[in-house]
Amino acid sequence: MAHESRSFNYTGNIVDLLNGAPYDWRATGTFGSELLLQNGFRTDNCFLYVKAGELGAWETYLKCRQAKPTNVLSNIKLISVPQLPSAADKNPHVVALDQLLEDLRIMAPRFYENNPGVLKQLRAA
Amino acid sequence: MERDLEQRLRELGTLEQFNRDMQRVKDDVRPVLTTLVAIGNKIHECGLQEEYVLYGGYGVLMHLVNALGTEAIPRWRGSSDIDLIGNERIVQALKGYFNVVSDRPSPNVKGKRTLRIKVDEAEKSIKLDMKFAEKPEEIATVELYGLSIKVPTLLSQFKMKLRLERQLVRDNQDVLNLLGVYYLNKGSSAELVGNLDMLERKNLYRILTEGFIREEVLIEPDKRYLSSLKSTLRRGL
Repeated sequence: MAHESRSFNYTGNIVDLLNGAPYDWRATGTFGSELLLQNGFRTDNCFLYVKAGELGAWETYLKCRQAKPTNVLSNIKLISVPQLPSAADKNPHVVALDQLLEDLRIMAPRFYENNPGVLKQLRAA
Repeated sequence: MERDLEQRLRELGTLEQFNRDMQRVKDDVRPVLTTLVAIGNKIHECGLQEEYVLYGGYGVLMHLVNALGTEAIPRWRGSSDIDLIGNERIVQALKGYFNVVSDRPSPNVKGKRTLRIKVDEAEKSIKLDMKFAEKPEEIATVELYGLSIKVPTLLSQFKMKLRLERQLVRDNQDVLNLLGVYYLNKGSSAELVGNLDMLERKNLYRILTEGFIREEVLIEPDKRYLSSLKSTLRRGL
């Protein structure tokens, strides 16, 4: 199923920006894996599931903090879903492990192929 | 980095940019990309610049760099091998300048050889697939750190990616990235579809239907453009 999405570029600290948001979110993809493993923040693209009913509010929140909507080299992507996916046991801001692994396979196939060690750590986490 | 390349990039005034980008690039891409830049430099020095074409993943990257600048490099999906269309003179030049530790015919593809280039004692060797075939008719020159690199034109590269026998998820991302470059270049969707045959249209439609929620796609055309492209494709199927 195709999800609606919005892309932004933000030059400040994305983790602080998200932690200050008054709306719920679930990280996925490489950003989700970094939050779960707490192995440092290196990704340059943060994929987040947000509730469809809160997509507009998210857009306003991000724009008010100078995140620029863009379709080129964005570093935040909001993926609107009717209901937020279940959270990982270790971090309520990250999708559950099964979904995280499946999202990584589809959303970041190269990362998925080239980082078997990270996948192993995630499965063991 | 080899001294020759460093000197050349210094002369071209791009050494600082190159070093900055290499610090940010993915670990597995750094040695391959450095080798690719060095190969581009040596092929040019040998006067063989009309005798090769870079295609595959790095061919896609060159189009992204052409559209977005080298900022695209750290964000690109990465690829562990270099794909060239070339000839025996190119192979000999590579052997003259690089530590080619093996050169074997491909077991699966006729007219293709796999060279392995050792760049550093600590690094694994880099795989270079050399196809001995007719070059695509339409070739573009893209500038990378001041060096000229020959690649298939955007449309040729796009068609090549849409015709792959085995389409992997990462190839689909390449298609979407090339489409993004086409969109940034203000290419019309009708013209694009007009240049595709039935198989290419079918594959593009399938990939578009799967959507853009992919970390390794750097450009996303706007909704109007995509819906016009999809409806043109539907009409043409």
